[in-house]
Amino acid sequence: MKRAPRPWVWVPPVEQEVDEEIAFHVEMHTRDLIANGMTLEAAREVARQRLGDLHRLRCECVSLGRKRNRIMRITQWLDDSRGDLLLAAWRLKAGVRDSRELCVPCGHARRDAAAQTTAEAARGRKMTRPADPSTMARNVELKARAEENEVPIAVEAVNSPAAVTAASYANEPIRFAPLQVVDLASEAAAVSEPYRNQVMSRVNGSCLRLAVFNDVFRWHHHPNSDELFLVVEGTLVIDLENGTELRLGPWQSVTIPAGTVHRTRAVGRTVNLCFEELAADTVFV
Amino acid sequence: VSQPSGRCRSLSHYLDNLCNDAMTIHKPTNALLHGTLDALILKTLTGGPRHGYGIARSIESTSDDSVVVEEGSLYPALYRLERRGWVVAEWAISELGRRAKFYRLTQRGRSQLVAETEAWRAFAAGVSKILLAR
Repeated sequence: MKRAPRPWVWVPPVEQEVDEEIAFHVEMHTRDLIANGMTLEAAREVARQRLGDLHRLRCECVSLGRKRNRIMRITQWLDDSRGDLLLAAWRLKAGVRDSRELCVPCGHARRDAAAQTTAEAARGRKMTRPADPSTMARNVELKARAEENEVPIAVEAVNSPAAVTAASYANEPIRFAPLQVVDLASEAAAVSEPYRNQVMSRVNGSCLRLAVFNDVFRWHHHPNSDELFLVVEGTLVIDLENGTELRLGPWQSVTIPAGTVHRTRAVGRTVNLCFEELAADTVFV
Repeated sequence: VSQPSGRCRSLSHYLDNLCNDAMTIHKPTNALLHGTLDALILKTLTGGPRHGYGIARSIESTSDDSVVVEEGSLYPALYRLERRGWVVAEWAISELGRRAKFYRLTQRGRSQLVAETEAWRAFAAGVSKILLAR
């Protein structure tokens, strides 16, 4: 599907936009009038007259175009910062004073798993929500387990699809080390939030993710990684941009090729495993 | 004979005009009612993206030329619709082989069109009840 160029990628100056548009209109009208038997000069004159006072029209359109651009810039900014704003509002409401964790560069972060250390995880520079009591209890448990295993863990997790950014998605730490038995069923059962996506293990350059959610994720694609979904519980619908719905039940799987824009949608509570490059970039669209 | 002062002249001119105006039966205009143009533009775009000129011609041809779009109002209306998020503009290659601004209806525009159509139906029914009453 052809997408509209995003406004900040290419925007002609408003004056140029208006001039080109009016010139195009006059040219089209002139051609039609000539086709109906008018001379070039007469046709051009009629086409211009139909537009009324050209100077006034231009001024009005330029003024409206500027207002439109201002509003579009604000809307775009709000859209881009939606996750951050939601989080900021949540934290303000919760009265959390420590703002250091709020500021997250929302770029297409790459992750080097080898460089990821316990110290980095401890710095916790990803978008986090303050934990509710149940999450806190779980975090204490996870922290103890991590210390035992010396594996970095997410102390607090992004638990709403709206709060997920490319950076927070890419910076999920790896929960379990090699040679460690992982009980995925109990890990899934332990999730009480509406959304949780964790990297459980690393396999060569790829990873196994466990996603538990009952919500709709945002449209996105991974430019550098195929993504395999394997549903374990519930029903997961994967919407593709062309309108296709891939509906997966337990023990059904599908691979979404790199660069394919998609959106996951849980029907009720869904548990699924996802296999993809550990350093998969995510681009929200 | 004294010349009437400027003020008197303009007053008499006004009165003449007023009398002429009162005596003449004006041909009903096919100018659009305020606000109707927006709805017509939205409706036209349900058929797919079009440039401004295409919108104007489409409205006129669909109405068998009974509605004449005032082209000087068309473009300001399109910019306002864009600002409200009811349409988005995209630059694409036109039939002339050069780029032109095409307008496309958004989801919000579709919802607005539904509301506008409903409002028009109610308004037209009300006016008909009065004008067509026996």
